[in-house]
Amino acid sequence: MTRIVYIVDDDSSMREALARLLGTMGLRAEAFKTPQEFLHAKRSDAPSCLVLDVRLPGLSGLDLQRELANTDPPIQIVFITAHGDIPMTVQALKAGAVDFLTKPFRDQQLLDAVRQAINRDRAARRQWADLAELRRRYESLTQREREVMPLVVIGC
Amino acid sequence: MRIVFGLAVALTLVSARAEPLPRTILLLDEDTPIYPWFRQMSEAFYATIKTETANPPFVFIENLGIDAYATDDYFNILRSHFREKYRNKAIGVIVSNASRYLPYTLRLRDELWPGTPVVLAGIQERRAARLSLPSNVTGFTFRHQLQDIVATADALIPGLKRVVLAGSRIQRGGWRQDFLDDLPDVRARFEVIDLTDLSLAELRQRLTELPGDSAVVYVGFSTDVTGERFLPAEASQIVAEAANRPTFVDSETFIGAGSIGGLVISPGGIGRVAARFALRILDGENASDIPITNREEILRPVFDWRQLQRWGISENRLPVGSEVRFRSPTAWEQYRWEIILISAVLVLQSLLIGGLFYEHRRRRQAEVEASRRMAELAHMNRSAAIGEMSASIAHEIKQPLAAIVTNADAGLRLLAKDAPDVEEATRALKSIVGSGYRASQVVETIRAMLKKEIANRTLVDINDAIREVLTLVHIELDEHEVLTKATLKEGLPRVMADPVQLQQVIFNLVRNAIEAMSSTAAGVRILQLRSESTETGECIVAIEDSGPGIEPEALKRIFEPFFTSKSKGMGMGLSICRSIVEAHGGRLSAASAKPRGAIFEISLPLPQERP
Repeated sequence: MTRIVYIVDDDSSMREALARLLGTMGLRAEAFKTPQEFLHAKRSDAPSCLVLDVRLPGLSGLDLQRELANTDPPIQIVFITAHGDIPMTVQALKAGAVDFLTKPFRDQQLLDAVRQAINRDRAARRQWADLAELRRRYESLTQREREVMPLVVIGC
Repeated sequence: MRIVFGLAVALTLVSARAEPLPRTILLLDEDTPIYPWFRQMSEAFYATIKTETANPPFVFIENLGIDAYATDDYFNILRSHFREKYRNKAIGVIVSNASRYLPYTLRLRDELWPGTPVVLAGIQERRAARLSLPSNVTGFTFRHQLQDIVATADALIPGLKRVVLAGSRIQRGGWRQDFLDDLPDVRARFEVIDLTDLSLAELRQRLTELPGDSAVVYVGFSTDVTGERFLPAEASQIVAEAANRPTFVDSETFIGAGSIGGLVISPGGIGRVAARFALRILDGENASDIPITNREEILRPVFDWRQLQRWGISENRLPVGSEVRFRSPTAWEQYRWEIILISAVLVLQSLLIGGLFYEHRRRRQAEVEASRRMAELAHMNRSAAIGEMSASIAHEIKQPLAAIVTNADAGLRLLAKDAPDVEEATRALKSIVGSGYRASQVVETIRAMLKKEIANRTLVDINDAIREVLTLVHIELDEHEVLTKATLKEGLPRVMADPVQLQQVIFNLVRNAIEAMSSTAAGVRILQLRSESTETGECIVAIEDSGPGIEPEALKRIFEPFFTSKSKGMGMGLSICRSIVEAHGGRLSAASAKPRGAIFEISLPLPQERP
């Protein structure tokens, strides 16, 4: 399955360069200029991650991270910034970011981070899918079957 | 003759006598009214008559002048004179102080006013004892002894050994005749120096040479050996002033004329007692029934405060009940209000001065504080501005750099593929070129931004700018114990500049200098500021420190952005300074100073003089 990397960066040349670099790795890049554009876009079910610039017009990268925390499964984020400081980094990582890269960064740094993020996403998706299947099966049970099931589980 | 006072005679009498006495008094004085003795006596007599009865009798006064004219002829003349004078005037009581000439007085009474009661006003005790008095005569006595005077002197003068008698010769029949009897007793205890048989000139001379353990007793001076006459009261002054030792006197009339005083006979006291005797008789008492008694109140210890001061005699030594006269009021007594006023003014003035000093101090502290805060603020502004600016410069430049790096990485990967994607790699490289230009544009924009700030150009007095900076940093200079030497050339033409930016440059350089000298020993931290103009039409401002100087390697790079030798700092200060100076068309250069330290020189073009 095609892996997708979403990019949110207000700098067009940076978006273009990132997409190009990620493309060389067989990753599909979808770039957005603003967080709003990203939020409104329809996302694929394919394993994916988000490369997110911190300093953005309007909603900042960290704000967007907070917005996305409630999606299910939560999207994995790799932060990039031209001017990062320690509090900013700590905040991002605590909120579940995969990595925090300072511009300019080496291609390998980005690729490692993106790969890690996609792997995490894939695992999360699998877990989520399993859970969904279980939920589907459970829902297929009749009322009576649902009453019996807990007893079966505990081995009565 | 003189009549002092008259009042209607009242005839209401409460008396055992069949026929009440006429309410008149004849006061006979043996001498002339010129003597203070008579004045004091008669005034006290008259005052007592007036105040001690509701019905004061009429008083006739006669000064007999016997001392000068004691002859039978004189008596006859006097008698006929009085007979005529008092022909129609009844006399109730005769008061006489003619103690020495008592027979003379009594004879007058017997011949002119037979049977009229007589009051003898003040007779010396011992003289009275020798008298045999006719009927209807009463009176009172007082004690008058040389021993008493000497005892007073002895009490006042510690270690008294000699008593000097100064005055006329003491004669039998004279007022002080009994002193002759007292002398042996005095001689038994003291050495007596008798100066009573001299001319006034000799007496005065002798009085100046008295030994230190002596005291003078003035015994009256009316006639000296040459026959010259004196008023005893006046002579007492001559004696007291001439004497090199304190002079003691025996009469109140001598007080206040240079003598120290002593146990004195008070004529006023005699006058008062005599008046009371006369009133008693007029009120009906029989003169013969009133015994002659001694009256102690006539003898009083009276002293002259000025003389006590002169001879250094403490008032503690004075006899109990002494009266001290002529006490000069203390400065406080004399000038109380003036002193209070002046003190109040002084206190107010002091308070005012104190207040002003306090205010001055507070103001100075406030100024120092304000100045310190201003310097802090200036520093903070500068730091904040530089910090913010550097952050945005970094962001603006890193953004295209990141795109360049990422594109380059992507390009490398595209070309490294088994089937290199040249087309896409070309696009990446084109993008890199674009980003490179962009980065360059960012730098250009920053430069333009800096240039744009130099719009506020006016003609600036460079020396004023330097002085203002020094005012701004003087606290810091003091704190770091930096000695500042400013050699500012007066009359420099003004330069066209943005005053704030120019000051910012000087401020920066001065602060750098202070920081550079932080490792220098406290005594040799010297900041030198110099302004001058060159022949090439430039204005130079040099800022020199005595710090460790600049390494030759560092000197080359010192104006580069982000180059810094400090642990703190962005390394932007000098680069900004240089760009500001250059924007003004000038130069900023750095060099090592001799023997140590660094020197920064700002040179600014002077405006061309227009013809």
